Amino acid sequence: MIEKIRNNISKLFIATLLIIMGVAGRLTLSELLPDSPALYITINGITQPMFMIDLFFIVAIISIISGLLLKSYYVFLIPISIMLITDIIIGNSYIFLFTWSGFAMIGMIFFILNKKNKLTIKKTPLIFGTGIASVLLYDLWTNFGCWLGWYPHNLSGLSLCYTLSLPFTLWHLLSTTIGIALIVIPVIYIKEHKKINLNYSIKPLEKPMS
Amino acid sequence: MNKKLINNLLLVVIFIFVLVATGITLFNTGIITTKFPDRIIETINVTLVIDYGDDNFETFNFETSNLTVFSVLKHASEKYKFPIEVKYFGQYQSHYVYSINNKSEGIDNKFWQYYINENYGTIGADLQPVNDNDYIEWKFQEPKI
Repeated sequence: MIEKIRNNISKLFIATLLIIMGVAGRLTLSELLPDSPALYITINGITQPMFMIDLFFIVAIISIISGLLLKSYYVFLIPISIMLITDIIIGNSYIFLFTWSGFAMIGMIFFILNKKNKLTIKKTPLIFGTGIASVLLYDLWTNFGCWLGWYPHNLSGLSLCYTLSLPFTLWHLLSTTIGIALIVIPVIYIKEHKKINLNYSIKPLEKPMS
Repeated sequence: MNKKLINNLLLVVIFIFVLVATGITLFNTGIITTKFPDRIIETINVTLVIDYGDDNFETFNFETSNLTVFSVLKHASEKYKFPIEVKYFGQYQSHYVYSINNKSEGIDNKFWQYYINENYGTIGADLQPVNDNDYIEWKFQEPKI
């Protein structure tokens, strides 16, 4: 067990760092969020601001990075740890069943594609496409949870739920795409050029006497 | 130039073109606008219920020219002299009501939530339009789910 921990020390370090960054980001950056811009969208007779700005992108980008750099169980552990710690402080409702699993799903998508060596710098459009698809899946899943809890259980309620979620989805797409460009792509580049050593293990300084 | 790089650049250009074209179309059709649509200011009749829980509630029926759930609450607060405490969230362009008539959120995991015509309010109170004879309730209760 201790040997295993020693061999995985760098992965544990990265996982811990990602969790700390996620928790710190979620707890501190909400005050720094900009106001929603003066752009409005009208769908189904409902007018709303075009972007509802939240901190989704922080946990999303961290989930993606954990899928790219670490083993499969970290993909669940990291986003769920971030959400668990911050939700204890901020508070949440039963929607957590959908949001927590949604973030784990984002990380898992990138982990699976990374395992198949599909996520390389040469396939940058695929990386962006995967990011967009995973955000859309996340929003489809979590808004399904909102519909179950907050809306009439009929087609009209379902339509209303997804219409009202549109500003959040647009912001999630925009912020995550920017996050992928600024953070994920450089991480992939650095990993490809072997600047990150994830297989570092601690070797004893002294050899046993023969 | 590398063929793959050219293909990637072409994809990016096509994507940006499609995005811009879609944006222009949506602007021209009025689906996307740069200001909230103006509503005709009219005097309407509304019923406002403040439900403190435990069968303790107050009902107000009055005329107003305020046309959102939040502005109706604010008008009632000034007219009937009960305090409200709010915080404005610019990222949602809406006020969050955390206290009505000195009953503040957080007690027994209860918060102020609004209903309009018996439907749970799912958008910010500043964004929810109010029409003539609408029935608005502000309930002090646990989160819906």
